[in-house]
This record gives sequence, C-alpha cells and structure tokens, in this order.
Amino acid sequence: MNRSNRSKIDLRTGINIAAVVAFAIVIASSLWWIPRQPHPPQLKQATRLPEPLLLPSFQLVDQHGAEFTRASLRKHWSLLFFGYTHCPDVCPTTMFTLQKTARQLHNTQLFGGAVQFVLVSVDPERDTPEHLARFVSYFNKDFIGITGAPQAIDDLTRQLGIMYARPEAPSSDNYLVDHSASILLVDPQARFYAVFSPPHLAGNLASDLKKLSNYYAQTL
Amino acid sequence: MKPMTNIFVLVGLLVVNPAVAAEGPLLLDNFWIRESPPASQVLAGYGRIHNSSSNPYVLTGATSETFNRIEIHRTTILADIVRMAPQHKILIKPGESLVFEPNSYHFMLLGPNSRLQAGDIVTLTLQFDNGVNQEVAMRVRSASEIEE
Repeated sequence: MNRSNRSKIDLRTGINIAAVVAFAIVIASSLWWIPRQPHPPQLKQATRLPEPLLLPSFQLVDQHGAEFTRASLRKHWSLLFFGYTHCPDVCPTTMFTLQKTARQLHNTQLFGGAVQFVLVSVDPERDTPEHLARFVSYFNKDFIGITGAPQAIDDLTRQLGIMYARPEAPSSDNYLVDHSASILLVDPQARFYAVFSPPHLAGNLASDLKKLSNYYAQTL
Repeated sequence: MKPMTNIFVLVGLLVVNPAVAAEGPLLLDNFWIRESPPASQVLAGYGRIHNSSSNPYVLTGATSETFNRIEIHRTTILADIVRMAPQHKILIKPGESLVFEPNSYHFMLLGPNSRLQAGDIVTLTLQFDNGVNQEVAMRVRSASEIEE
C-alpha cells in the first residue's frame, strides 16, 4: 500500500468517525433537549386553558372601597370565586376550602409571590364593601372581596362564561342567587389561565397551583 | 353493667355530646351549625336523621327560638351552576337516613337573635307530618373544627 492510498483510507476513516461523532452529538443533544421542553402538568382538579385568555377590562371596588381593576390582578396568581355573603352553604364551604388552600401554600414560592384570593360578589345590591369586609376577613385577613354596579360585574363575568341569576323581583330580603361554582385561576398577566371545577379540595387546589406556576414560569 | 350505671353512662353521653339524641324511633346525630362571619344573617345547619321505626317519616320543617325563620334547602351543583331549592316535605323511609351536609341538604337559619360563636348550643325543633315534634341540640362549630 502506498502512502497516498493509506492517507485516502485515513481520510475516509476520519470522515466516518466525524460522521459518527456528529450523529452522536445530534442524538445526544436531542435527548438533552427533549426533556427540557416543558411538559404540560398532570393536574388533579384544574383544567388549563390551551391559550390563556386576557381578562376584559372592568372597574369594581374591593372591601375597603378601593378601586379594583384588571391591573389589580397583574404580578400575582389570583384565584377568583363567584358568590355572595347571604349564601349560607356553598359559599362558606368554598371560602373555607380557600382558607385551607392559603394555609397550605403559605411557605411555597410561587411565581409572583403570594396568591390573591378574590371573592367576586354576584349580589352587589346586598354585598356592600363593608359587608364584604366582614365576610372575607373572617376566613383570612388577606382575602379580597370585590363588588360594584351590576353592569360592572357583568363586564367581568360575561366574557369568562361565569353565570349567575338573581330573582327579577325578590319577594323578601332573603332571596337566593344561582351562580357558577367554579374557581378561576388568573395568571400574573391578568389572563384566565385555568379553571377548578367542583368539588373543590384544598390539597388539589394547592398542588395544581404549584404545578401550573412552575409550568407558567418555564413557558415564559 | 348494673342498670343504674347504664343510666349514668347515658346521661354522661348526653352531657358530653349534646349533638347526640337517641329518643324514640328517630335517631339524630352529628347536628351542628357552621359558625358564620360576624353580622351574617343567614347560617347553615347540618345533621343526620335516621328513621329506625317501621313507619315512614316526612320532615316538614323546623323552628327555633334562636332564629326568626328556618327553611330547609337542598343545594345542587349541576353543569357548574349552584342552585338552592327549598324543600317542603322530605320522606325518610323506614330504616333510612336523611343526611344534611355541606353542598347538599341544609337547614337555612335566618335572622339569629345574637351572634353565634363556636361552642354555643342551639335547640331546634324538627316537625314531622305525623305530628311528631323532635328537639335536637346543635353545636356551633368553627371552620377549624370542620374537616374538608
């Protein structure tokens, strides 16, 4: 074998080795890369919206009478629950579940810090800010209650598919309001991000919220 | 156990746990009222009525000196809508129980005459269509006492 033949073979071997190495790098990097694509979390109770939906603009007031708008929902995760303070069964049950959820999330680092828990009144005629203040602070001093003109509440609920029905002409002051049972999760960009359908369990709410917050942070 | 001791045990049980009353054909247990936020004018009460007799019982209402009015309601959650419907007659067949619990049947207690706090005991009279009136003691429980 002469020198030029040997160098041709060396060259061919070199090319082959380079090809194998390149191929290995492609495989290895794809294996490296695939697990780093964030997987949608496996959730116990929540349903995540495929595309988060920016909330409509709205103008309500909180339990202290301060303005509460879409901007108030930015920078934190928020859980929105729709109910009213004259509701004796479901609303206190859900508020209690949210109280437990808040306790379970107490030392958890979530994107944007502490979660805002917001009760949106579907009975603004009776739910004055003062009344809401007494109601929400009973469950947790940091809970927020918001109310406002019926039209302003509709601005928020209609686009979110939240339904409620007050009687047209209530015969007494103790009328009942039918309303949606779901708890909505709003992301730190004020977008409707996921929905928790009933029945609500604090452990599921807290663990799903942690998973969703991690997923959100990875997909930013 | 001697009969006398039995009586003491029974009296002791009633004193320790006023939510339990075992009189006649109706067994009432775990009767309680959810403590509510201050100034709440509507509270909810729960409990279990077991009909141990061989006759049907129909619950028609409840009264109490502690409240202006009591209604019996049932919460339903259907297609995400929460609805409460007044119940005027509820049949309890022989050997069956009627359970009042959160997000289901509840006593809607309107207009308490004072602020009720955890530990308070309230008496309710349950009314049945056969003329039976049965008293039951309900203990007010705070949120932290109630398991999910």
